[in-house]
Amino acid sequence: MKLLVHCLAADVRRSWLAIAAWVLVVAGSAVVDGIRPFLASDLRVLNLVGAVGNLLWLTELLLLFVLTALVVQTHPLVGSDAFWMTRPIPPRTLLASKLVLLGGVMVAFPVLAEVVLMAAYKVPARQTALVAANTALTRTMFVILLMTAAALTRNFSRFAVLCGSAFGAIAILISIVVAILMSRADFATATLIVSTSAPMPADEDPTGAFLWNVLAPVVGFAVLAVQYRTRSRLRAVTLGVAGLLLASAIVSVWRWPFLQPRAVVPEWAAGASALRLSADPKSIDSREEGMFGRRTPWTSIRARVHLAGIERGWSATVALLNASIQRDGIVAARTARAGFPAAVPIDANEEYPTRIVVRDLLGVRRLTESAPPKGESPVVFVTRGADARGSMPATGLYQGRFQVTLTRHDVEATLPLTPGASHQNGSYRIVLDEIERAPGAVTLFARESRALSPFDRTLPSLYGFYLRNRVEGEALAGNGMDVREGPFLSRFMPFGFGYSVAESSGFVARGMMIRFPPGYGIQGESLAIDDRWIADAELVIVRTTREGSVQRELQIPDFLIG
Amino acid sequence: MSNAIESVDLSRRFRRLEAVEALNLQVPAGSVFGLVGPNGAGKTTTIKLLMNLVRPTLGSAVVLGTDSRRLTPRDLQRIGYVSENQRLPGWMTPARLLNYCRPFYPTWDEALCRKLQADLNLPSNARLRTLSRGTRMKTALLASLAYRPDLLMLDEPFSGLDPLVRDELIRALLELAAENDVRPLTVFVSSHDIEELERLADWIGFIDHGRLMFAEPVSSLLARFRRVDVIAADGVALRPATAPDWLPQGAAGRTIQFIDTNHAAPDAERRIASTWPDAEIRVSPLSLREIFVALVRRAS
Repeated sequence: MKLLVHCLAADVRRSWLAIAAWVLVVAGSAVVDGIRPFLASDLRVLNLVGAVGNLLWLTELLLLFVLTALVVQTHPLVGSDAFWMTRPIPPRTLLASKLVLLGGVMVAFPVLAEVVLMAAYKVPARQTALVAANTALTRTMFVILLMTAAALTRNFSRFAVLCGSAFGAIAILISIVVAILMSRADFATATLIVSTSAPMPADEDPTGAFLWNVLAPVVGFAVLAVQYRTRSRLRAVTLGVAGLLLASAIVSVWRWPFLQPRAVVPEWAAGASALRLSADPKSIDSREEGMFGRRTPWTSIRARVHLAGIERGWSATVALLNASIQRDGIVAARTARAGFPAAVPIDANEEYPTRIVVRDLLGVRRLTESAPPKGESPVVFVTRGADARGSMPATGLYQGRFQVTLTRHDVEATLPLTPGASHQNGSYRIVLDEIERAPGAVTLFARESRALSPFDRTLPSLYGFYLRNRVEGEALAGNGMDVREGPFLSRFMPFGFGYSVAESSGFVARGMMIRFPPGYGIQGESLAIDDRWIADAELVIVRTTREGSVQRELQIPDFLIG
Repeated sequence: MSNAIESVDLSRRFRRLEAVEALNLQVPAGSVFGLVGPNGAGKTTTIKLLMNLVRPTLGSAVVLGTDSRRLTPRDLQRIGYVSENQRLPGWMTPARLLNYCRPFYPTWDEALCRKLQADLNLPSNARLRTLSRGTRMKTALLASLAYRPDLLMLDEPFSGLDPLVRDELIRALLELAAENDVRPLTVFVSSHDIEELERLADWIGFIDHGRLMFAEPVSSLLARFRRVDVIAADGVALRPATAPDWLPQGAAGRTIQFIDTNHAAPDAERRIASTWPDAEIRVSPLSLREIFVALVRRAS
């Protein structure tokens, strides 16, 4: 312990300037991220603070590399001429001192800064702890990986070359994968860009990413331990490669999605009478799928499918799982692929389903928003190539199985149009700072903050903003924009560094500008609003959450292939 | 323990280069062993092998009773190492370097450290990277002597140093070696500086092309090598010096000169006299430097 403190003190003395710079930059970033949302209405100051924020972020990124290399390479592990190698410094103590120093400075301190920031934004303690744990885990992974790179290189220039090569290799790998996907003209790729226009929050299972976040540092730590003990790069690198292969195998065969968000299928949806699918045989239409301006071998057949038996406040998307066409009781053809989700119309109403749901929720007669006027037609059958289509029967009995994924819509809050109006529910918090009224338009400046962590296993929600006039029975969807200054560089990084970066996890505090009417994208009839209309209006925040899914059958007799 | 260092067939290959080849070495405890050899002969690699800074491709070595590949921090507490190639922490001052080293050595002798610091006239506040090469070497030596090691490994410690600094270093070494009665200090030193080695070493090993040509006490070596001048009588032609132990050095007029590498043998003088019965024979001792130069010439 005495030696550990001695080694630690020596490293601190050696790197104190870089450590001090790092602490200042991280604290400065936290301050900038904390005050930035307050500046949404003052673009000039926002730009200035934002530029400082971007500069701080770049400096933080640079220091992450410099400080790690400096601390580790104070005692180089490569070569045979380093002073410490012939001194009785226990390798275990040396490694422990590096881990304690870098863990404290590069993991604990930024996490502390994030915790302070979350406390300032009144994030509940539980959510704060979960977000902090996730940030600590992610940062630990990067610090350990950088330590490993520094331990395997002789000096900073070689460390920089190794890191640059690694990033280059990743970029090349991604390019190769994309090129292969494009050349295969896969149906899934072709339809990737034809996603539904319904608001669908993400529902990915983060278990795999979590496992990587745990296993990668474990492998990195093992490499460090071997390198410190033996100073044999061959052994360390061999162990690292074997460890990564093992980690990859573990992640790919892992069958326990313990972090998958808990999606609920409500009781009403479980019965067979709920969520019934029907389709008009005359609505069948076929389309050759294209990708990046090229034709693909896939032809999708769509039908006007309707969904019945859905409760108020819910909408759903429908996606083809499998389908067959029978003739004379014999299966004549099967779908070549599954389909992608489509927001199908509810009951006999052809309108876009979320528009109906939101209108109901808001209790208004007229709603102006950006959703398409009509519900979508899902893919009900997929063929590959003209030959396949030619061998299919002209008509037959269609039997398809679909995944019906439910989305719940709730009124999150109703706020008066007054500065200072606020709402908090769990870690979600919004405060109206300023209201600008112009003839026929309203712009709200607000601070919105959220703290999300994969550990709480809740499904993320989307929030929509509506201006409602109860007297007139009308509502208008707003366009909520994240007010940022210029390009925010950190968004282009492959990994998130703490707060205000990752949108799907971590702590996000942002300044928002919500415009009514949004100015573009309005579908269907638009509302004419005036000062009197605005005077009676209130802000309604609608929360959209993806929930569980059920499978349903669809039969179409006399299915006619176009 | 009679030997501080023993190696058996110790070898190290760097790709195609056999840097050290089947080195069999015994360094008696308490001796000052000088390893000499031309540039690239394998001196530095030998020391690095003994210090476990590089791993042998074949063979093994035992240093202070421990396999060199398994030297632990406890073993390193008994070994000092100073090398001209060593990268010292340049951001440290000599005082800070000593403070840094002190806790790692239970046998650290603060009084000795202060004495050496004063004797070697070391500055304490300048960073090592700003100091001269000689001062850095003195600092490294001080950081390796202050804990009274049992074994001191010195790799070209005098290379590029001015004579004054050399004297200071050698004096410090000799004083320390003389002080240690209970725990004898063994010094293993490689150097090109034969004169300094002659003052310091009591054993000498000669390495060339990775092979140890010989290793023996300096007294025995000095006794073994003699310069022999054979001066012929007028009109008498001299036979060339052809015995395997004789290294011909040249001929001028009526004189031929060679070095007898085995002059300590009982019949050495008789063999010379019987080869040139009518000639005048003059035998003179050689310095270590002359022996080294002769051996290098023969090797090349």
